[in-house]
Amino acid sequence: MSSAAPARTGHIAGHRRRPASVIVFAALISLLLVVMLLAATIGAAGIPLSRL
Amino acid sequence: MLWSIRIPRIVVAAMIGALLAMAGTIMQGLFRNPLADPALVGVSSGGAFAAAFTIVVLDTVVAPNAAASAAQALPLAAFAGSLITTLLLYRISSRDGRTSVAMFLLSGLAIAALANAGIGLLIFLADDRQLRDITFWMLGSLGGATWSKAALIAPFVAVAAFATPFIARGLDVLVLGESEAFHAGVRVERLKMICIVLVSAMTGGAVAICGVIGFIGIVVPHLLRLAIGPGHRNLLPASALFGASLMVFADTFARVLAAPAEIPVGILTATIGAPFFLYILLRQRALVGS
Repeated sequence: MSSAAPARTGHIAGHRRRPASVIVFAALISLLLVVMLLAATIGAAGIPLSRL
Repeated sequence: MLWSIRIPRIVVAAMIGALLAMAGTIMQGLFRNPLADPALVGVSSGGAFAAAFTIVVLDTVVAPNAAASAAQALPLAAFAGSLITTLLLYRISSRDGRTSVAMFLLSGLAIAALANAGIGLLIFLADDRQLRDITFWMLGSLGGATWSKAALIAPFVAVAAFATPFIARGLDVLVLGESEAFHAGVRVERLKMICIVLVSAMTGGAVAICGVIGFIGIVVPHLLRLAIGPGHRNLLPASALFGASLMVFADTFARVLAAPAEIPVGILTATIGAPFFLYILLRQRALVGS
């Protein structure tokens, strides 16, 4: 009387698992913050960095 | 300087990028076509034509000395132009509940050509100041971004963010086809109407603030599908984040590339996006051929 362990929902044997969406969202938020910080600090279009 | 010029520009760029990327994602889900993009199929051109019409006609005929009224009417006009174009596009390319990809792309190109012809006529009629304003719409630029413009675009982002969870499941099921989605319990007609109004509002809002900026809506969803799959529950918010990053990056690049002059960001996104679009076309041809 051995009961097999239930298969995990959504998991198909042999399929490559996608990276967890939490990691992707964390990476996307980090990317946005970095790009925004870069955009705020790069001096151009007649505004020198020293005058910011 | 930072707070009054640079930060509002970054905030506006992020919101515009998020709107355009989400509009592209929704449009691709709605038409079940990975080539759908508001700028490519004339939705942005429709909005830009309405904006140019407002600049020239409202300024010249209705209120010659009230430039403020034209500026206030612009977002509404761009939204109306985008909405009419999207409805027209959907009406032409759909028959018996099925959307023809070829009809969709070709009718989109025809509508874009018609809108551009209308803009050409308005350019011919415009005076020097109006001409400068219209050129700004055509090229797309974030040079005039202010906090008041950020406040103007924020409700569009809020509505899009609020609507996303409600349309994500429907768009996922719609991939199977309209009748299959209907039998799976999706109210297809209501979903289509919500998506069309959303795409029009998002594109119209973006066009009203910064003119026509293309290819964000086609590049972002494609790259993200490779990372997180096609499910719209994750794809839509991820598109918003990545679209915002891409737009801020493109705007910064446009700002520093030829400093102290500024390259219109629409030119830059088209330079990046057009080869990417060709790559998708060639990849699809290779998949169909194999």
